[in-house]
Amino acid sequence: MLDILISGAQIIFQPLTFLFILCGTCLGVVFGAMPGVSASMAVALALPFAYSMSPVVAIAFLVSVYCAAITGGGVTAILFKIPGTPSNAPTTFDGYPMAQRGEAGKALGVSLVCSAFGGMIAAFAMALISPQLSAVALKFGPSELFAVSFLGLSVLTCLDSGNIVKTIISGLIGLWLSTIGMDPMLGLARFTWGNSTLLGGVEMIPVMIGMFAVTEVLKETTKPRVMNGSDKQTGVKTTFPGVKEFLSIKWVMIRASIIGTIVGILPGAGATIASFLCYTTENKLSKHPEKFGTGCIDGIAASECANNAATGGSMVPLLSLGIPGGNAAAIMMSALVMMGVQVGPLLVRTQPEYLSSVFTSMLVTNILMVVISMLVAKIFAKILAVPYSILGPTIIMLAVIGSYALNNNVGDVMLMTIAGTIGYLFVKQGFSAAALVLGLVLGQMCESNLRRAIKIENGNLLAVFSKPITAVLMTACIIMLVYPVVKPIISRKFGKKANVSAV
Amino acid sequence: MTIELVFNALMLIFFSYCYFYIGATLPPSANTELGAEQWPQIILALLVLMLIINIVKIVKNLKTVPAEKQLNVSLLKGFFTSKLFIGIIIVFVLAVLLGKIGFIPSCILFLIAYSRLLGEKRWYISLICAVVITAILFILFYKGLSIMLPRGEGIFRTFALLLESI
Repeated sequence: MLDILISGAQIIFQPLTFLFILCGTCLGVVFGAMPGVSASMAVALALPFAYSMSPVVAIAFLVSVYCAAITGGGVTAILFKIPGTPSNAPTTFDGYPMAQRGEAGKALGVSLVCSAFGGMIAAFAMALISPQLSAVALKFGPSELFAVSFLGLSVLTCLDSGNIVKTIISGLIGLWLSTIGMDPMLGLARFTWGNSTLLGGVEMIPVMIGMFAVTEVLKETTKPRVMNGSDKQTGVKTTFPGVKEFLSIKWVMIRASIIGTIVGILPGAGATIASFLCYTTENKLSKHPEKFGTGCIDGIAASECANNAATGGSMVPLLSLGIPGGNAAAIMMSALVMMGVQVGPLLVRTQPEYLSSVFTSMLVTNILMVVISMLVAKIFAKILAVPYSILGPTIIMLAVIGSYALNNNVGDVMLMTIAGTIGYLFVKQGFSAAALVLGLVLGQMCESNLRRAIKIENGNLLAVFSKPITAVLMTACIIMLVYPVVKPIISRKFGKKANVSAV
Repeated sequence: MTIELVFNALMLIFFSYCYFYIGATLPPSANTELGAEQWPQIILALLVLMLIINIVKIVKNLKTVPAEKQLNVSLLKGFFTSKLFIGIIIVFVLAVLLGKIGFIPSCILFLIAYSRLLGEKRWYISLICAVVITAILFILFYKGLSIMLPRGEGIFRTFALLLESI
């Protein structure tokens, strides 16, 4: 470990390389904070700068952009309920209510500390167990990957335990939306009603932007926003959690960082699944699940630790096997290939400087981004003082640009508008926009892996689900799905018994 | 009858139709695989089941629904004249105009219209803010990040190209 750190430091702390890392972190935080510019888009936008660098410096630079973008996304998620990147969506659930209460500074502080913590844990995990973990990930076939994505879906029942039926309906609508367009296995058109625009399917990002940002502005149109507390007058000052608060969320941070790293390692999973999974897992494990979604720091800690930990995790298969763990890692891999680097299992063995530069870059970035994010948050928070009659329409315009920039397609703006309107109706009727988005995110991964697994086993469902890893994961899924439904019944029964014995 | 009941009933009708539509429009799949139509059918069957459960729950609680949540003509009238409905229309108009007249004119028009809707009474403030915000967004995204913005058609396209060349 020490030799990796020393050789990494020799690369990273050269003045020019350090400057690149610093610039990469600034770019990442700013890009990440911009709604609609996802972490992978931030890496893609930074790619032209990397062409002039040596491959080892280029990968360190791109990693810094990637890590910082995920953290930057939390800033707008907390201040405006606009997740800068999809993986920051769960941060809005508790971050925005805190901002509305006048605790935006505290929410930002928790978010930054947890992001740095998650990122660093993942960096150490990457350096320590990179080859071993990637070997486990290689054993994941379609059935195991289906089980992982289904595990993500099984958290649906606790996204809003107040109305499980409506939450499941929302999740199922999200899953149905993911089936629109070309079928992932055979290319058959589904639910297109002859419309060629629908062939490409329902884009995730415009729906997400519409559901979270446009819906919020529409809500404010009928009932103008009231920002309580001191933040409105003084601007947002990032406040780091005290020792007591830090200790109260220590297990949340540790669990979310570990789960986030593991999910990040799995190819095809990634930061979005990691943050949703950890948020809902913590909701289930919490002694006060009713506080989740009302502005509780545990929710922010779970989401931000997990999404940053997933960035480190996604680098494991890239460096050890040449398999990208997600979109951003795929862009980095293509950059390395373009520079003539042979990515694959031999990369870490023959050229260990790649692992050490990525590791040290992640450590340095996770420290730098806390300071840079504080400055960026200050600038973004100034916007809170702007009257909502100006801020509201501006948020919609940012949402429009974010949706349009995805494919340079006006159709995506229309999709965002429809999603925003439906999202408003949904929220008004007590349905869960978060569950719908989760279904949409995981839908295609679930379907394609299940269909592939069934095809491999010639239609034998028992063979698909009896594989050891799949069986364990599916059992966990069933427990997670059923527990919130059974829990009130059990507590009612035990409550009655307790009452009887008391009498 | 409540709005919630109507909303759920409409969803039930739509998703039941989708269940049969997908079965009718795709070829039947082999026994050894999960076909392209079967995964959506599983989801839709579950969805229909859950919607029926939800509708039964709503019907059971129908008597306790307050009068203001009951669906009636005055409620509908109120909705169509509400700020919310006008806001939705403005956003839809923006989505349509974006492709026709381009980013800059549609952004300015939208910002003025929506800020007035949200209560900004001074028209010159709306106008100045709209122009400044449009300029900032254009410089930041087009010039700074090289993100393409809609150019519009005809004369608007020429205008957009002229601005981009500056």
